[in-house]
Amino acid sequence: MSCLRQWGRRGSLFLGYLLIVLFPRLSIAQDTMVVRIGSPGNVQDQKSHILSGRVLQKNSNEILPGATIKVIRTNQVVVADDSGSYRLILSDGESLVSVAFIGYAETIYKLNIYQDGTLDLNLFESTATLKQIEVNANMINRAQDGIGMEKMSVEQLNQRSKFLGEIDVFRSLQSMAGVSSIGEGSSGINVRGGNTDENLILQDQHLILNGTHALGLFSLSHPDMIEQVSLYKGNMPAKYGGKLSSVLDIRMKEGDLNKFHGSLGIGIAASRFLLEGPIQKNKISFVMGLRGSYLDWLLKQSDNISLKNSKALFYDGTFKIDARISKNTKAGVSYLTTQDNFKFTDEVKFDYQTKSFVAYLKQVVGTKINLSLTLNDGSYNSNLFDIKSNDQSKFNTNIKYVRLIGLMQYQVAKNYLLEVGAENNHYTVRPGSIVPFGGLSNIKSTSLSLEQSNELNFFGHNRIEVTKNLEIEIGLRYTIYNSLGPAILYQYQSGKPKTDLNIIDSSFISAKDKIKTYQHLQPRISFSYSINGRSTVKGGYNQAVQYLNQLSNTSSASPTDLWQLSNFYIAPQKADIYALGYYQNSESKKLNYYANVFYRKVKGLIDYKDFAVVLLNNHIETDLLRGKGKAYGAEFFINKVATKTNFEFSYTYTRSLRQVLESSEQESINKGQWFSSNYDKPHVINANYFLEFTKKTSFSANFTYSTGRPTTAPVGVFNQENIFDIPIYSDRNQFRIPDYHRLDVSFTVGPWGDKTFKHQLAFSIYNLYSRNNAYSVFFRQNAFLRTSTYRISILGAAFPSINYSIKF
Amino acid sequence: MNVRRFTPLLLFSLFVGCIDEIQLNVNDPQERLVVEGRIADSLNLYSIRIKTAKNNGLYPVSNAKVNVLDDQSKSYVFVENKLQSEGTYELMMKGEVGRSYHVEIMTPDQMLIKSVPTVMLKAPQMSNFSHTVESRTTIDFNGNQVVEKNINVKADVLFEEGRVRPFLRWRTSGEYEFHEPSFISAKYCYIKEQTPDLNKLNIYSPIRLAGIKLTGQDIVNLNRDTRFAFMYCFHIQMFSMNEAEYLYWRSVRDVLSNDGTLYDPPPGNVKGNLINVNNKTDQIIGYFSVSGVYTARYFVSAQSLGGNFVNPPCGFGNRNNPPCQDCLVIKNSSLDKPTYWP
Repeated sequence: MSCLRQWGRRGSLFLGYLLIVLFPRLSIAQDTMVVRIGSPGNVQDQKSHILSGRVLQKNSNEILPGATIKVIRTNQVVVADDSGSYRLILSDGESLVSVAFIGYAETIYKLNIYQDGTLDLNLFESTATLKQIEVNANMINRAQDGIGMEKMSVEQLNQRSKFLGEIDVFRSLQSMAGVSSIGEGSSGINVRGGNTDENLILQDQHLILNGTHALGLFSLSHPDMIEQVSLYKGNMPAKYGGKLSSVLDIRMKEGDLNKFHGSLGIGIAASRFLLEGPIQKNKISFVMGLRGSYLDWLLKQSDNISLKNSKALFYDGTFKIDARISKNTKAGVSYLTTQDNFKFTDEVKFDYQTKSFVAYLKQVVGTKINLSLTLNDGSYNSNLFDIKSNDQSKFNTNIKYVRLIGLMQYQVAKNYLLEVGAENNHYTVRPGSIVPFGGLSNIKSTSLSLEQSNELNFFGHNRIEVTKNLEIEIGLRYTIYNSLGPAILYQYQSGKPKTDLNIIDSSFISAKDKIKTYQHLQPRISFSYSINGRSTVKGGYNQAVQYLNQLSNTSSASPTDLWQLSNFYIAPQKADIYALGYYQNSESKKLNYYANVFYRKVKGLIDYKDFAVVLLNNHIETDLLRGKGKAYGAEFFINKVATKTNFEFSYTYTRSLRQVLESSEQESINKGQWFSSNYDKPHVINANYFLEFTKKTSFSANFTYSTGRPTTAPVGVFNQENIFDIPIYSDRNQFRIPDYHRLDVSFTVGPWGDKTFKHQLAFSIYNLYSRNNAYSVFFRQNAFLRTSTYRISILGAAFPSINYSIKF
Repeated sequence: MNVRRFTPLLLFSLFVGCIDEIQLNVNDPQERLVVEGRIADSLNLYSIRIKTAKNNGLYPVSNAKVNVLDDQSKSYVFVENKLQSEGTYELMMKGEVGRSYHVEIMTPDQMLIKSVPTVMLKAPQMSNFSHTVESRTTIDFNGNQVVEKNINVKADVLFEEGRVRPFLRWRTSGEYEFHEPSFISAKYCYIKEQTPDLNKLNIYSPIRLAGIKLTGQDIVNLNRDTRFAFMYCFHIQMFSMNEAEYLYWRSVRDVLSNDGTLYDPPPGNVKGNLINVNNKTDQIIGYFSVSGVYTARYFVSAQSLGGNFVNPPCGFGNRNNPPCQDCLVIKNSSLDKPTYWP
């Protein structure tokens, strides 16, 4: 079975866990199996024994990652991992163990265990599904997450802050330890001191280059389609690559194979619709999610003529078809399309789009091998319009990608899973073209030549249970990256800074010719050592290389920023990542906590000269600088769950620093000293509280605090021509804007209604105590030539919203 | 043409926003030398100002030796005008198109400052002046959106065929007519704007110009107010410059428009064309410009504004204002009608 399928199954991990814990009597069908392992009076004189094995589909032997195994008397619950493997600690003698998984009949195993042993647990498919059962509380157990990985189910997303009444992936992720953003209205997330373009974002294997709508106000993913969000914060399995910081894998649900149903959500700024059902019962299903905003409509309500003439809207659509071709074969296709359009009066207009298609085929071979093949063909396109004056023009940039991924999972032995595969990524980037529009435009058409590259990866990943307490993962990813023509290659005077004045020659590279080849071996090593069943130590070392970078010479990436491929002058960025963590569960399983430390060093990171020109620059290397970076810190997390409450608290200390030191001052930043990156926010605190008043009413509160982001401030001023007071700036990022903090609350009523329609209302207040957090800080001279500092705040007052949803 | 121009407005518009002053402790003890000056191809009194910037203040540098030299080693000695403006060195001169010039300054503490030699480029011709009234939305310091109407003057620029097209910068000063109420004394005053340049900073790069004619170029933008009640005269100077100077002014513009938002690039220190010969890593701030210049005047009459006309400043309710009693109280005002006034 492929990794794609495995991820799909993992989507139900927490749901299944809770179903077993909270609703043991809701099982659809219970079969009881009696198994004896060892015999009484066995030579092993132990009070407890370890049972391990895999959870499999009965007939096809398909592994079932995410299946939950619960020891009924002790409430011990474990979840089958990616390879369907589990491990239980059982008392000597008889134990009742229930095994459940969405879409499968629950099976009870009566185990008589007298020694350590292995047992594969089998489940039969059920025609009924458990998906519709509502769950209200959720325990986070990071010790059971994969090494270096954290997961968030849709229920956990629901318990976090809602912006405009909707759950939001990116905002929810920011409540995790080690994840932050630059500020209000910024795009993307920063993971452990990494840049926003250093995150590999996959949504059902669609490569997502811009994960947000409306300049970061909304996440791209349809809230009702999300099944599970997994974030790898450093320790990435070898099957993932191309990014330095993290892997964000958003798993969307598959359509129901048996019944049609759907949902509709109406908010004050956007609405969403979902429909799913069988195309052929028990064989082929579909699901489609649509979402659209009416920010545009809000603007039209303004009395301000300029706003009335403005436009701000987005929409997205996700379509999936999954087919069970045979017991051992599954295939599917999905399509994702997004669109954002903005216009402000008659001055500026821009839009951006993502279009992506995925097709997959999965095959189970025998009992030990799963094969999968995935194709992803997508593009990201942005247009920036100058619609005023005699420079009327349209600037376009886009990137197209074709990804082909083949993966084989081979269960070599009970305690050894091997994953091998290959991934080929072909990128075509149009760095920029400008065309005039309007009869009066003075602009002449200009287009920079296409850039192309091919990235071929081979990877192997071994997951081995060395002992009952020790699990190790050893992976290797090998990449051959070719920067391809056509291109004009400029040559510069040796020993001098790369500037346009130092260009001495140029040569033309023909189409498809190799301009530069880079090869990298990236080792991935990690371990997990269970001390006593409740305490686990995890650690790892990863190396990652990034070939595709976003050129954002601003604090936050803009949706119209360019994507830049590694080429002759722009070598890939390379990171070495170290992490070590301690995880602890209480005996009652109601309290768990962890502490992580991490260190990351980056070579070849991209920075920018002062006043760099990024748009329409046919020798962009003259405006870029290369340096090195380091990020280090510690994360602390605690989760306490009770019958009706759930409390999480996390504190992260992170430093993210850079050094750009070249032979000339022109090519150095801050005279070559280490300085804070734009997203260096040392202290981040998050606290989430969830309370279930009744089965149909719940309350949640989310608090966040972070150190203000770095900024460059004027430290002096000079006047030129008796007109301009030109500031003299400090070293880059020498100061910080004020700290950020905010409290959000939400109150949810529902679901209520009959079997046909279920309704829910969510009220939320963003920024309850009206904190004026700085969106930006700017500086102006006062009459005494003193520099005054001003703060612009957005969402600077409590912002209420309401969202109504109906499921049918 | 930038997302950052749009983002704060959108966020302000959709969500609650405000601007307030905060305390951020910024201090820099470093001392920097500031030099600025210009010469052009018209006979004029040119000045070069030398100052020291430290502790958020500017202090004139006196007793420096200031020479402008051309590519034939001809020296133009600038003399300090201590009586009127300490640290300002002046000379009446005229540059020659095609010749290269640079400035050499010896400060009292024996620091030798030189500018990069620059060829004086001929300024192209301007024609087809016109004006329109346009609306513009801005955010004031209270976070409120303000719609203001501006007089926008446009013109065409014709570059010479087959020659290197220079980069351009426009500087515009203004002068307007003021009428006291007719039943008192009926004096007419002619008032020169105090601001030496009405533009924030208007520069142009011909790199993406299709052809040799730049049509409908924005020359100057000014708030439509009572200055336009009778007659307004724009005094327009168009300077030619090389790419290095254009990049300098573009950097100045970027710095001045930087609001520190998430979508602003990190601000940097503007680097000019002056170096300290004794210590090349020492940063000298400012620019010595060598330009060709084209000058023109453009009048905007009250009648030409049509429906966007402006009421006279001394209407009912305003007649007791001092300028309406005596328009000479307005700074830079004169009763002498300029010879070029229509």
